Amino acid sequence: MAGAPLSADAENELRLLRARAYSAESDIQDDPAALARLAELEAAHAAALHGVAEDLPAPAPDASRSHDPFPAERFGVAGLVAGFAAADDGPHESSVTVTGVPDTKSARAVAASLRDWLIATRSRRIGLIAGAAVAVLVIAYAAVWVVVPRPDATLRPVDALPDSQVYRLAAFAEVLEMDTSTLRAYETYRGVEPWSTEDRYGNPCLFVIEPSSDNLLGAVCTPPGAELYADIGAWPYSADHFAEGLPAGTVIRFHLNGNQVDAHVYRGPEMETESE
Amino acid sequence: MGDKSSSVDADARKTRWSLVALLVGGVIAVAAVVTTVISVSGPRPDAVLQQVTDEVDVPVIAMLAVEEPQLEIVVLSLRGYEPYREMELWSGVNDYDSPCLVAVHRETQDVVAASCIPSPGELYVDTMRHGIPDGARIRFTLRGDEVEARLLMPDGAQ
Repeated sequence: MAGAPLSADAENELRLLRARAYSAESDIQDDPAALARLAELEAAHAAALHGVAEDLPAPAPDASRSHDPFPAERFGVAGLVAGFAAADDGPHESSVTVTGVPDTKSARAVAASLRDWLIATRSRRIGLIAGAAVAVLVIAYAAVWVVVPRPDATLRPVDALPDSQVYRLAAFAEVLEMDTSTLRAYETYRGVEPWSTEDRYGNPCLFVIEPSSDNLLGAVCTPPGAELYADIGAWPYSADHFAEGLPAGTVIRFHLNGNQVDAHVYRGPEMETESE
Repeated sequence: MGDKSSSVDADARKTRWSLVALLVGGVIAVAAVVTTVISVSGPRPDAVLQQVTDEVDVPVIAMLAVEEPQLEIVVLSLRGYEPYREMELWSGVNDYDSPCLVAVHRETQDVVAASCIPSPGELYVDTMRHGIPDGARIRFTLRGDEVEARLLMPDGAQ
């Protein structure tokens, strides 16, 4: 049900009023009559084009945002302006609904208004793309967090110097040919001390000792290209102290992960009675 | 005007639902890609060793009893795989239901490496010497019914 098209004079008048309203040096705010006339003409123009009342008014008109080429925004502004004008002038002959959200078209109006608002200006479009990129990153991070198992403890490097016990215990792994002049210490876990170094072939090495029982629990050197793990087991009747409270069959895996040592505890089956 | 408004309502609803579907589809696609990449990432193995026997092998059992009794491997669970570079691989479970992997050097009756780890720990053993260069290792990883073998050279040399 399209309205009658505007006359040429009316079109001119509308163009002039728009220039006054939407230019950077807008002076139309001080001229209520001009505002009212602009609203009338915009409404008639909208009716002529679309045949239905135009969308929800956009957020509060900002006179400084005048270089926006997107027409929908202007109709929204016109809707608000028409609303101001109608409030002053009483009943208003216009097919623009001036009080705000038209009831029967709220679903369409909200959807269209949101879409228009989001893509209206270039900065908003960029923001939309940036927001989508952030969302993708968040999803990817969450997927990684779910798929990759988290360690039970993360042991950071500490500034401890190796003592004679460390050197003596490390010597039990002499088959690995570790270079004990460059030992690095880490935080301990369950009384177990991890140390890292390299072997004579340049392979990274990880060994773990239990000072309280004077034991070398494990020592491994692995070439680059595979993860470096040192596993220790909670076997029954063993003299190791770290196994206290852990079910038999439990394995603690120490992983040299960049600058830190991750500890993963893989628990054995729970027994009804605690084995000694 | 009534007809036109109800059809544009339907259009708006369709638009909104198709946007929602697009968004949900996008989320699922990204998550699927990421999890797939993680699960298959890693260098390709040099060999994939198939299971060849599940019959009791007395020498292997004897070696394990002598050298790795603490692992408590269940003898009847042992399965043998194709050999790789002087190494014979066997898998099984222990008394704690942990999967186990064992590498033996039959010629010298020696257990070169053995490991048991409760799930979901990744099960592997590394062997050294026995025909490979000094400083190198072979990493054997149990994946399902197969054992993957990868030769690791020191300093990343190929």
